[in-house]
Amino acid sequence: MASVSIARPRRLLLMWPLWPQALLLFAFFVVPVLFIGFASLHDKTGVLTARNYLSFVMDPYNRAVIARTLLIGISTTALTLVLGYPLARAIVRGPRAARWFLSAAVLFPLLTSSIIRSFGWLVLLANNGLLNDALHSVGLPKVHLIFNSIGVTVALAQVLLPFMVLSLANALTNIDPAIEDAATTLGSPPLRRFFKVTLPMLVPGILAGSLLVFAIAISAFVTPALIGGPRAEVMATMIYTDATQVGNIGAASAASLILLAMTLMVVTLYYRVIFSESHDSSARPV
Amino acid sequence: MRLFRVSMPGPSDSTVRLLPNSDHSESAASVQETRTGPALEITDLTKRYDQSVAVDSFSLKAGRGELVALLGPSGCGKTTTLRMIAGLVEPTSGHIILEGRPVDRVPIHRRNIGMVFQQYALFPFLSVFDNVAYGLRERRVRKDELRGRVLKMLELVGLSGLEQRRTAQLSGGQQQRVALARALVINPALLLLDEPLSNLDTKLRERVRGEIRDLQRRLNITTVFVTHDQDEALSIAHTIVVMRGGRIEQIGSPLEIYQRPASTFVADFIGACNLVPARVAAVEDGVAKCQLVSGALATVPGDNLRPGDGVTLAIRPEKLRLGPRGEGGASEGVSGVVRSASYLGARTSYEIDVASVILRCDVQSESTPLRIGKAVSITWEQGAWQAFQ
Repeated sequence: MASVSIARPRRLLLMWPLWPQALLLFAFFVVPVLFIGFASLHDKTGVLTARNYLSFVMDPYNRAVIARTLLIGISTTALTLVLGYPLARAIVRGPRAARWFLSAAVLFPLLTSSIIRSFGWLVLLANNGLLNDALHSVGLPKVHLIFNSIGVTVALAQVLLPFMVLSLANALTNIDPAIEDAATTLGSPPLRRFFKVTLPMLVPGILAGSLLVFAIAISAFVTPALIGGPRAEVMATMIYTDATQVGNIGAASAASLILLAMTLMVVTLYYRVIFSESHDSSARPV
Repeated sequence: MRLFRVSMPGPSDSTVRLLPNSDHSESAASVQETRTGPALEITDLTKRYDQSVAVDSFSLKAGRGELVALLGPSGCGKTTTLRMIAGLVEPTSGHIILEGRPVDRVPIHRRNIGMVFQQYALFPFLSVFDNVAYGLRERRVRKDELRGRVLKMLELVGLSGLEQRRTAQLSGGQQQRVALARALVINPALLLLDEPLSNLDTKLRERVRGEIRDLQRRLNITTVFVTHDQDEALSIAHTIVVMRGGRIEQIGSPLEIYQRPASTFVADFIGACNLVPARVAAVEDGVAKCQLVSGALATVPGDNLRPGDGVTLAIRPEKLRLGPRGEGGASEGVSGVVRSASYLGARTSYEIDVASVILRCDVQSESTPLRIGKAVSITWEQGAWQAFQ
């Protein structure tokens, strides 16, 4: 490779278009994380301690919050996958007019403020909201959909659906429709064809979309704050409460880093899978 | 009107099945289903989209083991026709009868049709073996039998030893064979090929098309083959269907299509052809004498021509002979001037200017080609021209 022969300083010089981004990332991500890391390891009096982490992990309430956050992340991902695939398919394979309309409809939630969107869900899902009124009018019992994980998941799935749809649509675009046709002519009915042929080829898109949705879902703040409320606290809302209302910067910092670690773990896992996939198909011993 | 055929066990047509075992589900049926009628019968197949008609009243009969080429320029409806036969496109109207059984209402995955796609459409995540085995697994073929059939088929297409390869590691020609093996291993009643050679380079294409023909004849499998390449169609098909704008222009053997094209379109599309406007001068005993623009006369068979008719005369470039001016002899001819010469190895293709009409003339190459600007005379056998109204 040519780049090997170029001396290191010169190579850095050649990467000048990346410098502004690197600077920005350093100033507004690395430095704050270092600060938070520093804060998480000190108590209120400024003494070095690991107590913030220990007490966080030991507290059953905090563990429940972690579990709830993960659960919301997983169920939001699953919900966007199930809802997103038919949409992605219609956008990629559907008639031209439907493509345009559906793409616009899918992207639209991204253009509205998350606060307005969350209030919209409140109006729909509240105990005396539209949905429960409708259920009541046909004689069905009311369902509790806000101030719990269900409402948060539904609302998050709506916001994050575009990310999943775009990832799946992108993966689907790379699949030659003739491959599915081939499976059909060889005797696969539609559902079996999906699991035997389409799904394996969609894996990269599913992983990419899931990574985005999961990472954003577990760190979301506004939607859980408004729809989940204090009764369905997640990591982000808890960090906010700790930092601004309780004033426990150390605990908030520790929780932030735990959340960051959770996200990084998912990202690492993603790259492991993607790497092994591409490695597998390109160089397999014969 | 819907045609339902009652299946009649006709006299055995002694079809030799090269593949050892047909599927259990169909083995009993396939013995019963040998019949005397055509293997494939298509009646008035039509596909209409909102405003346009992609395929208009396509009808075709093909016998068992026949290789039919659908030939035409892009957009002529040949691929849509193929996809309708496969069941991938739903016809607006018309009927398809496969081995005596109407398949209009049979879902694609039960039609038992093997199809090879233009880009091969191999399953990228499966090995060569698993690609070929796919259709057999869908048919729940027992494991040991499946293995035997897959290996035998891979041997037949010359891919033995590559079973465990990933398809991405194969060359274009090898991928195309995997696609063929995958389509054939299920013992399909019909093999459909959608431009199977268009992704191969010229040299390989000729070899592979020969292999496809040999395999098709050995297995005696009824085949419909879509191509825009006239050489492909002429060299391997039993029957050529020339299509244009969704309609059939002509159905015939390669010889008929080439020697007796039904229209100027067919004449021009299959092989090179000189098309010259002319006027009928006289008709006698079913033979018309036509006057070319240059004033020369050409004799054509013409029962339905009347003196004074304007016609288009057609002749193949290789049917024209070139000689020095004045060497007319007994046959008919015109004189002209050499406009250009293309040396093609064995043959040389000249463009001759005859009263500002350009005639293409392919002759055997000689050591010194004719100079540009040289006056020559063009002669032809009587009856070499064909007239179109």
